[in-house]
Amino acid sequence: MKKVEQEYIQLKTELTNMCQVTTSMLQDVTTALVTRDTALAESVIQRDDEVDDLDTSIDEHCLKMLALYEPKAVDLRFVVTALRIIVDLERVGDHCTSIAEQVKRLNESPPVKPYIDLPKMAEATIGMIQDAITAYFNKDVDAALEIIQRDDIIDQFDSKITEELLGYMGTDLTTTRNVISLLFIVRSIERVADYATNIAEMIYFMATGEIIKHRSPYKATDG
Amino acid sequence: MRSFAKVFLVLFVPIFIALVLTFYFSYGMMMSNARNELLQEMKNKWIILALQSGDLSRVTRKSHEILTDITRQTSLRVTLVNCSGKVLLDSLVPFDQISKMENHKGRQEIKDAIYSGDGFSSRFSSTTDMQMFYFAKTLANDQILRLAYPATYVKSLQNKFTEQAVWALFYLSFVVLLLALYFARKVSLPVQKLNYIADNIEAGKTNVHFPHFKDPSMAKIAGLIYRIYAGMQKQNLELAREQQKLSHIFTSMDQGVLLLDKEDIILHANSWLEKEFGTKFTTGSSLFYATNDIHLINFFSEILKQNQESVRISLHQNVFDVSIKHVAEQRLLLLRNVTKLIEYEAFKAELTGNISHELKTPLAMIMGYAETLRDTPNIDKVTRSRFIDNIYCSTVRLNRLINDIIELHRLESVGDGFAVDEAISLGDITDEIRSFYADTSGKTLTLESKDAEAWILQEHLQSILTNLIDNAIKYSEGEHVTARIQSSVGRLTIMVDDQGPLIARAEMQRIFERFYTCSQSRNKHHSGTGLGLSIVKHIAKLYNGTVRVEANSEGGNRFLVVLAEKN
Repeated sequence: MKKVEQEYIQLKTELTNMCQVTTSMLQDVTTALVTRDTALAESVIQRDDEVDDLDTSIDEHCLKMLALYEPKAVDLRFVVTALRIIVDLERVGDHCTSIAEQVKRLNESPPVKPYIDLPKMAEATIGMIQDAITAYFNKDVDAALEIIQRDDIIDQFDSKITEELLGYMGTDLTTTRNVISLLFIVRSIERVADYATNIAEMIYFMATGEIIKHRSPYKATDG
Repeated sequence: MRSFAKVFLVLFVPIFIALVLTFYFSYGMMMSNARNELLQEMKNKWIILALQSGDLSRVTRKSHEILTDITRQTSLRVTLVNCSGKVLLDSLVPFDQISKMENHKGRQEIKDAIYSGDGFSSRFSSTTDMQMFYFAKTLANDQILRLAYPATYVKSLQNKFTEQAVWALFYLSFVVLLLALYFARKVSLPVQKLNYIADNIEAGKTNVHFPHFKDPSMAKIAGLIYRIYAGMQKQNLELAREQQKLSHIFTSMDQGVLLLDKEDIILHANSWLEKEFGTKFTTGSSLFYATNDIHLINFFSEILKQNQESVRISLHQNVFDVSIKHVAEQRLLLLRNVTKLIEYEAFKAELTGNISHELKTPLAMIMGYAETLRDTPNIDKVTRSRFIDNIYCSTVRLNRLINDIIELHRLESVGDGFAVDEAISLGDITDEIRSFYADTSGKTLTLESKDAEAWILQEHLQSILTNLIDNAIKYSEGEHVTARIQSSVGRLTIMVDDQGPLIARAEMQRIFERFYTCSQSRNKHHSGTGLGLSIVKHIAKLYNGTVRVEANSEGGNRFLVVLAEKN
């Protein structure tokens, strides 16, 4: 096997690893919220360093590939897209860390409500990220477009949960502090889904060379 | 063909060159010999003439005539020159004109004769108009006697020899050529044949033709090659067969076999993997090359990271047992999908729990009452008989439970492997059932069926009907239970209706599970084994049928069983 092919395969496994770590962070932080597990939230915060390390190493690897092999056309876009995907994944990690901080705080007082839609929203978001990375490996434009459309589901969850939480705040003012934390968490998950959309848009660019960001009918995200 | 040309050239060219060189040098030697001989001859003639020079010492017409006579008869030209170079006599020049001849002191042979006694030269003579050989020597009286002989002799000798030499060279070359061709063919033919064999073997042809060799040593070599080749062929065949056998084994294995080298390049992958994971595992490419699903990439990265020999790891909804063997620098992964096994184990544990729980309840009652009866001998008669009744009821329940378990187990283990030998009469069955429930108090049972025949085992139909009717009688609060059997085109439909209360929608599917008994409100007075409907479901399955429950028009439940007759 050629050296350059090995490099691509290594990039693939590294990206998978980073995706795995970030999605597991989101998964665990949601579990920590639902099961009120502060220790788990703490472990999520610690995992952020791992994401940062992966970010740095993949970044270096991509630059090395660009310098050594001077890829052309779709190969060039593949490497460049990887460079941009890791930025988004790193930010997902950051969001999970902030959610974990909020979870730690929330666990200090009694729960506001049973969480039903929130885990579903997190699960849908995790699915979006994982599918986006799979679509990236497959250079699959259709899958990318489908992921972009799935952002609407997340937005629906967002508005539904937000409204519900505001309702709680209206009836019981003592919960305000916790409701604000939860609002923050919901907003963070929504942003994570936006990153997934972003990645999907990059995949469209990678596969076709065409930029669909900031263009209807697909909503633009500022990433 | 190339080897032939090579051998031919190697043989022919040196011999040809040697021939040419031989002819060239012998030609040179022959010419110089001829010259020397001529010179010697002239010297001899000079001596003869010098002995007669007494007649020449006086330059007279007579002596000139003698010389002219010699020349006429021998073509030898005789010249007498004095020491100052003046020509005294010349056999080719008339006597009167001799005095007019130019001085010969400048001639090479004369010069040599004056200085060293004799001289020899060869040149073109203007007097005779041809190439001449000259020999001059000083006589005793200081005069110089010169003999001249035309070079035609040497010339003709040269021409003659050249002609002969060319012909000889030509014939010899032709013979050498033929010999070279013959030997080249003799040497190169076996080489060509060997080459042909080697080329065919190298090209991987299966049936290589071995030509016949005349030369015994070549035949020996060819025989050796043939034996090696045949051995190799046999080994190849055996290897291929072995490989095919292994490949068959791998293909039919119910687990994944994946052999990787240290760089994760696939060395072998059986078809199970492709079936299970839905991606191509191409031999020779990296494990992660064609795999783009991140779950799958993660799955394999996790496995490859492991240090233990075996690991249980999940992918999507499935659980795999992977054993990792390190062989030299390769890794052998054996993957087995154990999802069903795990599910079955969980199911078995649950089933055992359920059965023991169900058995324990009546057993505890029996033990409790029996203990009381043993420890309290003076118990009053009424209580004693109540206790005994209770014990009896519990044993009946226990018996029923065990029977049901045995029945269910039997149905489960039967599978499709049974046949219906004869059709049964639906009328007979309904009569039997009717008489069985004749003395049921409180509920009326209506049984409707056409007087038809059905290809179904009697015990199965009885079991379905009694289980469904039992349930209806036990749990329904209404007064009436209706059972209908309809048969049409190989399908048998059994409907049992009660008058409620309605089973909750959420429970409608679950009631067919083993040991599931409905909510307490419906179940408070009666305790079933929880296996009846499960038995019904299993019988339906044996006949490729369906079973379901729905609400009927009377606000009760309708159990509907549809069976395909076995004929």
